[in-house]
Amino acid sequence: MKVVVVGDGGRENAIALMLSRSSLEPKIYVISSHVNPGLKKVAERSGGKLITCDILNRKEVKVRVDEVSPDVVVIGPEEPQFHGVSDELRGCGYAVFGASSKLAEIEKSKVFMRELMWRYRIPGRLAYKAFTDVSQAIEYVGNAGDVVIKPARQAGGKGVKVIADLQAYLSDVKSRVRVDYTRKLISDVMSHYVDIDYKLLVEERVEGVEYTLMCITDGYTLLPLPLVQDHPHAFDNDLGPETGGMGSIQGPGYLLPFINEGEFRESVDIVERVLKVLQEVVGERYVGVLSGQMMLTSLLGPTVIEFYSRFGDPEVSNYIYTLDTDLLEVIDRAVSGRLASVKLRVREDLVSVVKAVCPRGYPNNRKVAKGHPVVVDEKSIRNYGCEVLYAGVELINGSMYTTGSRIVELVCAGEDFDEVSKRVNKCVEFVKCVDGWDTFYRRDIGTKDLIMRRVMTADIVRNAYTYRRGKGLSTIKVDWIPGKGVITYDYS
Amino acid sequence: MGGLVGIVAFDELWNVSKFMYYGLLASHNRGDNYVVVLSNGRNLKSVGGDITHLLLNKDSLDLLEGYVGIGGVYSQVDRLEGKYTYLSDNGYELSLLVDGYVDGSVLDIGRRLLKLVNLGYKLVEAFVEVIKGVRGVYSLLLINNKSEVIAYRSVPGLTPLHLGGYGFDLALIATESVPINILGGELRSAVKPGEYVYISPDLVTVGEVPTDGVVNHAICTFEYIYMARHDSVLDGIDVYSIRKSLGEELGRRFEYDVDVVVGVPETAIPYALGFAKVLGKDLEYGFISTGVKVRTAIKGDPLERLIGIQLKLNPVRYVFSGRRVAIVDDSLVRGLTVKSVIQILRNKLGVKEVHVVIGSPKLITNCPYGKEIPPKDELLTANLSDELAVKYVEADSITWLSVDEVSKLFSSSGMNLCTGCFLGGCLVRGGRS
Repeated sequence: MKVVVVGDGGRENAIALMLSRSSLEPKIYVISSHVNPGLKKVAERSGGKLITCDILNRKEVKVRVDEVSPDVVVIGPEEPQFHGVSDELRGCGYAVFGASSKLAEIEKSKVFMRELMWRYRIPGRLAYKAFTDVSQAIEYVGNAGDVVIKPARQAGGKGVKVIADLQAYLSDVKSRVRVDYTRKLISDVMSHYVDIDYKLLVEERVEGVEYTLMCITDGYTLLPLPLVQDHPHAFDNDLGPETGGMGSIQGPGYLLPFINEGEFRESVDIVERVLKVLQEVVGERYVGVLSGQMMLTSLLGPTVIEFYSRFGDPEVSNYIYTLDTDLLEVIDRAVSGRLASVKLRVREDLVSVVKAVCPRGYPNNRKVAKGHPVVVDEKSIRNYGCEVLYAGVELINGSMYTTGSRIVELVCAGEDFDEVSKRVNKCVEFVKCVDGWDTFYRRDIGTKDLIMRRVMTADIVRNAYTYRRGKGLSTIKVDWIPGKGVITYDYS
Repeated sequence: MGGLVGIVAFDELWNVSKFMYYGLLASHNRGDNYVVVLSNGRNLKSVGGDITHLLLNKDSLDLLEGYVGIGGVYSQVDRLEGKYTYLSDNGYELSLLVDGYVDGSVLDIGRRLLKLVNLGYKLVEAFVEVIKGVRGVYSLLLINNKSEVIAYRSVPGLTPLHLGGYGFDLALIATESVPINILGGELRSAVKPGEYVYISPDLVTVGEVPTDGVVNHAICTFEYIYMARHDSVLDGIDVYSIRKSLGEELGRRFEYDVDVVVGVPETAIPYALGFAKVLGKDLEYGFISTGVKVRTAIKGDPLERLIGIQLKLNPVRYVFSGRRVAIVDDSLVRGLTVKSVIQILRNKLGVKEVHVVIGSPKLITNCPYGKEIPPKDELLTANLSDELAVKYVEADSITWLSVDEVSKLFSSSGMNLCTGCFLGGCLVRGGRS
């Protein structure tokens, strides 16, 4: 069997690694924008190879795929989906695992996603306002109060600004930041995209505990995978700017220590309902991965922050030890619409931890983070029982260089989060920029202290949303302006 | 310096001067004067003065702009000199603020840092190299004009220091946890003794400054007893809970019968709550203050102290008239508060009995580490016998806690205390005698 994996990051390295273990003994071909050493190794070991081309160019990718003539194509990242790579290949008769460009709108356009959820009254949705006009957007955010500002289009996870505005005495400073930030966002980020009319999305801000629910679907059946929690803050103690994800924890089983069975089921129900209406609206079958970036909030309980039309990165890397199922077989069944009979096997006895090692400068100053020579002592990492997945690393003339993003993901599994976390920490020293450039990672991901803090936050949030539900406040929000009257917002 | 505040924005869009203003306001309990240094990534600008002036004209800090800043408050008895320094060399600017006692001079630390930086050391490397040779009992904040900040809590750990965050945008450092909350942030951890936190817009790291030999870690008892706000959490322990428990302990050892309990505002209120609960007596709101809140114990001038006491303690007639009263205070320093209150209660309000209850052990010596405890010859319990003390303040009795009782309460929470001012010896090294 021949498989093509499109993509070049840590996520694709994890997917390719899992596919390579299949009993179907596939030859893996990777189509990448650059030579990722991890992907190259997996491909070559399987008897396949790594091919470089512009993965956003549907015609170019098609030519490369034709050369391989694979049985299945797996599209890893969202941008090739947005650029019609899945459409092109499907049109040529290939079995493609990855959302079509129209279905991938659920990730690409944050306005489309919110509109869909509101139109079909799907639970877990937040109030929002979308803008096509720049000056209107700027005027609005100046007075918007406690909100989140997002680019209207998925922009590689960049550009979201969360500004808690609860202290009236600091409000004027925050209003200024919102306005300045919006200007910058529209000129620096949104101006690159001509494939969307909306510029800006402003959402009500919520607090709570985030988690990712990734699901595989063939359009008929939704197969939820175990919950994973990512850590977006760059630095320890949840400090620092938002990144693509500094690492993630998963387990035991399908749940996380701070998400209960009922909340998991509710989350699955939300994704299921979105999948159904999305297919209705678009008029196509969804074959691939649909992920809910969720948050347990005091406002609503399980709440949708964003949708992904692919696996989360680094979240999918958690499964390399704990998903005890032949992933290629699952994907093979998904592309042929036979997912209904699939039962996933998940290692209930293990928990897993992923940590990214990053060059200084990531995520906000990638120019200085790029081009540093990297060495990785894979043998020592494996001696600790950990695996290394390559992310933002490029192989040039036999040497590895940073691309400015996360360098590698270190993955480990075991019985206890704290122990596994410490084991991963020991491996970090085996990843180095040989020119002395600083690297960083999150020591605290998976530690007992951090998980305890999440449990405490989740308890507070759970109390609050349970109260709201008890008072019938999960479907309405009551506001009263003294002297003017009562306003009721319908969330039902 | 009595209290430190550090703010680093990860995004240059922020101007943190207003955050600094409210951070200092939330540290006002630790000192009346302030100094602020802000960086815009190009140069450092600083301003300082009396915090009450800042209160009257709250926009004066707006003159400063920057997305990174450090600041501190200090009391009148303390001196800024030796706690703050600014250096500049060839376009490289550096500023340091210290809370506590440093063996040597801050200026000298700054000079040595500059020298190493000039030799090509990274800031953190230079810091560790210099600080490992500096003895003392202190917390420190450093800022340079490259938007780098280092926060450090010296090895003995006497001075608290806390780390917090606001969303994806700010890292916050403060002596107490309160300024972090007031700035809308979330307390993330206590900086451990001997630990430094390096914060710049593109990197945050935590590390340890190596030490030679074994050092006892101990946090200052006075932080919990008097210095910190009730709403602070220091090294993971709620200050309020400690004060209430100490009040309960006092209630158990109190030997007299009273009609009502009154706490001296504001520090002693949780003590009085715990005390009244054990006694099963009413806690009354007995004193009303006039004008701006002041912390009398840290005022340097005796006349100012007296004015402060009189203005904050106007008694409520209904509470005291004809009753037997227990007055609870957190500590007895010079006895001035208690004495002036009792005079009014006896002479003007006709109180029947006044029993003084103190939520801490007897203070017998000053603090070698620069905490605001007056010299030994100004401490009532270091100079007067119990019998004489009762006569001097004209009370019916005075009840103290013992050092053992206080230590026991803390050790049950896993805390190690410095009780030098109650025992007369230094529990941690590095102080001046």
